[in-house]
Amino acid sequence: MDSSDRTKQQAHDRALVEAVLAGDATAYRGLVERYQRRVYALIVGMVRDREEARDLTQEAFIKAYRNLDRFRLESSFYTWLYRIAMNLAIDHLRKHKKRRASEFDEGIASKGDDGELHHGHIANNPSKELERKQLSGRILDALDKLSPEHKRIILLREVEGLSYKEIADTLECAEGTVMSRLFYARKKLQQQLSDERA
Amino acid sequence: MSHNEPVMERLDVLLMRVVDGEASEAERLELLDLADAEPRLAELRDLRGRLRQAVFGQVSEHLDVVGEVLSALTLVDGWEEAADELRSELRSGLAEDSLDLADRVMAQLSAEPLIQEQPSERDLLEMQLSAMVDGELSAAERVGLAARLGPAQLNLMTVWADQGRQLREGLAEAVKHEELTLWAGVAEQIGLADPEHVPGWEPVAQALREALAEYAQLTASQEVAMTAAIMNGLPLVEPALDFEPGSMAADADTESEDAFENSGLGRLFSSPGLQWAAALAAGVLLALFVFGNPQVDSPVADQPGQDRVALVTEPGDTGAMEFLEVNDAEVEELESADDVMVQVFQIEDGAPMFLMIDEGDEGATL
Repeated sequence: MDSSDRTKQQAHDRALVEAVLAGDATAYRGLVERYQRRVYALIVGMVRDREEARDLTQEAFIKAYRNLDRFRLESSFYTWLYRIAMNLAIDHLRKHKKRRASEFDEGIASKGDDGELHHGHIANNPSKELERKQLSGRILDALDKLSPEHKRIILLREVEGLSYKEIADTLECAEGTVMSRLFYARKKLQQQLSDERA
Repeated sequence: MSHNEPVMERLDVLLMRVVDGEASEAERLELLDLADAEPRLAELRDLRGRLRQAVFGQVSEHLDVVGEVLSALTLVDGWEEAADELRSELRSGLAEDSLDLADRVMAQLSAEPLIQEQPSERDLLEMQLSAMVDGELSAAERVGLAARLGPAQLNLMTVWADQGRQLREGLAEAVKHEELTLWAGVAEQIGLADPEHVPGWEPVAQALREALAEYAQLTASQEVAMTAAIMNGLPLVEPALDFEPGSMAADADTESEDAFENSGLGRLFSSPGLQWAAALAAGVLLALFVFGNPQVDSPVADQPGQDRVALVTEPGDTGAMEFLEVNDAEVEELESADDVMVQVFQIEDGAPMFLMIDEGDEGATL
């Protein structure tokens, strides 16, 4: 999305927020429908459990609605929403330290007794499909081993494609911090992937 | 240093409730009491003061303060050095961004620091490479960096770019079959009784209903004509030519109904809304055919024989039919009556078009 699209989107978001603040709660639907998939993908990356991610996504929208009067209209709604969503995800991770990654993995690929990956459905090119899903599973496993903060920053950048400034707004820190933190997160992810390969 | 887990967990919960804006008055006071009693915060008077302000909503950036408090509370080893660092930064007034400060403090203590407190020369270079992958360097910075790029650096940038792509693909794969319809759940939670309600729509809907009701009012004969026009557009089984007056329409109706119901179009038109739309469209078509089609009441000399109209003017005449060029067909008199049924049909594309006028007891004209 280029900057003019983002500007338009921000203006549209602001109009919806203003409508909600003026008493039209149904205007919030536009915001939910625009961002639900993006927030969900971020939270799935954080917690690696679809059901929990779904609940947390809904909770993020409810929390954002209830705190909408605190939202500064000159800011971006999505960075504010992502902050709420990520804080919820981090809070969730801290409260539930036992991850249920296996449940999540089932949707991508499941490991059999032989340790190999097996799949529920076979695509047109099974070997390529297998390879692709193995890769997906591996990178998500590696992501899962990062600290919540590293995970959060790498998701905001790589999945959501936020600029350093937007990440800084979301995390409420300086752009320089984003740059250094993201670099270390990348190195850590790279290290995890190397360890897994080894 | 003692590490009281229950107190830590309670502090954690209370801090999160403050961040979420859901802490009650009693919980806020409890949090401040626990913070005052917590050894790791004992010497951080400034931080506790800011926490007090944050808890009671006197500062807007309360997330920063809570982040600092959490950082302080989760440190176990080497806390004294960290506390010194924190105090030093706080006293010097340089700590404009508390999360940056928290990163730096954690860098000294954590086994997995978010950043390195004193990055090496190589780290600094790679940090720039990372920013370059993200397109976050200025043109001047990129030019400056280009001179330092070797195969290893280019390879590293490729690795990171691949990592990002794989991550996006992995997550896309994980969520691609998800049907997300959260609005109903959100609407319920925020107190909307009807999630589909659209404010201000009801008067519009009412006006629309009234206008349509008036516009779409049809007499019985118009409805029959409309049905015939619809049927005209459907593939029908070709009837035998030696038919009994009045029976042909019935047979055609039966066969065409079967064909229609079994066709995709039939299933489509089983929707009541679409039936209305089709009926309206057909009415317009019929009106055009009867009243506006120049081929019926005016000669079209330059397209002879393109369409044919079969006219059998004598009721009950089941024998030879006379096919006339369309140019020769004329409507000499047009009347309307409630008890007359008109059917227009065509066996197949390009075939002659039949116009059947059934006047009940007085017989039918094809």
